[in-house]
Amino acid sequence: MKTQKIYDENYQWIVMGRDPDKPEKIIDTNQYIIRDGKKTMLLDPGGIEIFSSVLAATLSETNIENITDLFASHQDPDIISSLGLWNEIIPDINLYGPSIWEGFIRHFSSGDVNYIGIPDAGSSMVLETVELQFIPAHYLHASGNFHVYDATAKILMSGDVGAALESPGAPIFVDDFNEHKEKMRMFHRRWMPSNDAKIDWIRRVRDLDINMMCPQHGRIFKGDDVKRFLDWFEALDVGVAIHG
Amino acid sequence: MVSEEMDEGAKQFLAVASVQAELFAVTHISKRISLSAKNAKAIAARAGSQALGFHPITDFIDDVATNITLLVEEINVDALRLSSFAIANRNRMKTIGRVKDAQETLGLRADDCGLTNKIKELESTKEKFLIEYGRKSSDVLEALTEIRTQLQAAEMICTTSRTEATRAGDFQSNLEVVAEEVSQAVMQIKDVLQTSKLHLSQLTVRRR
Repeated sequence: MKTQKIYDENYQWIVMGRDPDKPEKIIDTNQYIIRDGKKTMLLDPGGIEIFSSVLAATLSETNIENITDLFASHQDPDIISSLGLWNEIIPDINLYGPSIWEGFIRHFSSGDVNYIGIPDAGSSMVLETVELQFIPAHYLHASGNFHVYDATAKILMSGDVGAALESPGAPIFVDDFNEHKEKMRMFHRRWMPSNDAKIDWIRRVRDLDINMMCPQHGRIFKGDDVKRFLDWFEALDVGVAIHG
Repeated sequence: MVSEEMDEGAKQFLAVASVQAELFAVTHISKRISLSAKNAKAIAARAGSQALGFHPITDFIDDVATNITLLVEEINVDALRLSSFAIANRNRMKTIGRVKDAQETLGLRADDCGLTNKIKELESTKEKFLIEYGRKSSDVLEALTEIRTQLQAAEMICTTSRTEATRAGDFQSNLEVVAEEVSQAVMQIKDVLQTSKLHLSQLTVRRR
């Protein structure tokens, strides 16, 4: 699994993905690590099938006793079906996830994981030094959905928003937005159910200072590509399956 | 190696699930015995003084059926615990397999980052589990033996029933049918218990 530091100051953001060992028929996912002193959080740690690769990639960056927290943006299996495995090897691990999905996500484990529910309005937490904000992104696409914003690194982990369906060896960063937007179109039109939710999210996200927008599939947006994405997304009609 | 371990975990789970299913069948059969006993009681009442010796027999058969049902309920509680145990073990084996894959990828780094020690911890938990699993399955085996004792008593009473039936005059054939029904039900339960014991003991032998 490929790993790359995307922020490296007093603490680090690391992206993991493009797993060559991944079974062919499962969707490629990006996992993010925030390593902050003796605490490490994994954002959307992924499914069972890629657990071994994610674990090895994480432990190439930190020690096992420093893996303290998980974050699940929503309840999908490609986000958090590995929960039972993480909980088995790190019984006191914390999982931050949407409150409304708690009873559902617990099905991925033996049920006794330390689940810290994020209320609908959002919340924040301090890892060791860095404050992370859980930004509501409901209906984008799940009914209870959060993104993670780090105001110091100016990084927004945007879950499925900004996702693109790419070939396994695709680059980590968007290099040509005009070319890239076609890879996102179908995904956003079909998976995102609500134009109202989309507009509300864009309005709030435009107020954030963002250097990098990091989706769970596809490539990371940097600098002006973040604004380009927001403009493109704003103009896109979503929830199209109801039209048949 | 991993898949072999996972298969073993699946076998444990399936064995316990099979025992649970078979015990469910036993409760049905024991209810049938109880019904036959009540039927025999009604026939004996109609037969009057000709079937006086049958009254205590029917009560006894009914008691045996009730005891078997109660024992099966108790065993089911143990079997349910054993089933949860088997599922937890299968999950643990899967985890160990996947963690070992990560260890292989990490090479020497696995020692430094604490993964090798973590695997030792998981293996040790698995060993403790196997000892506990052995204890729990022995408890279930013991309880199955207790049902067998009840069945031996029922078999004896079936023989006595047939003797008493010959003294029941016009009701002889009715009571013989009842005795035969009980006898067949007892045989069925014995077969089911034998299969259950086989399931559990095979796993015990493999573990040793």
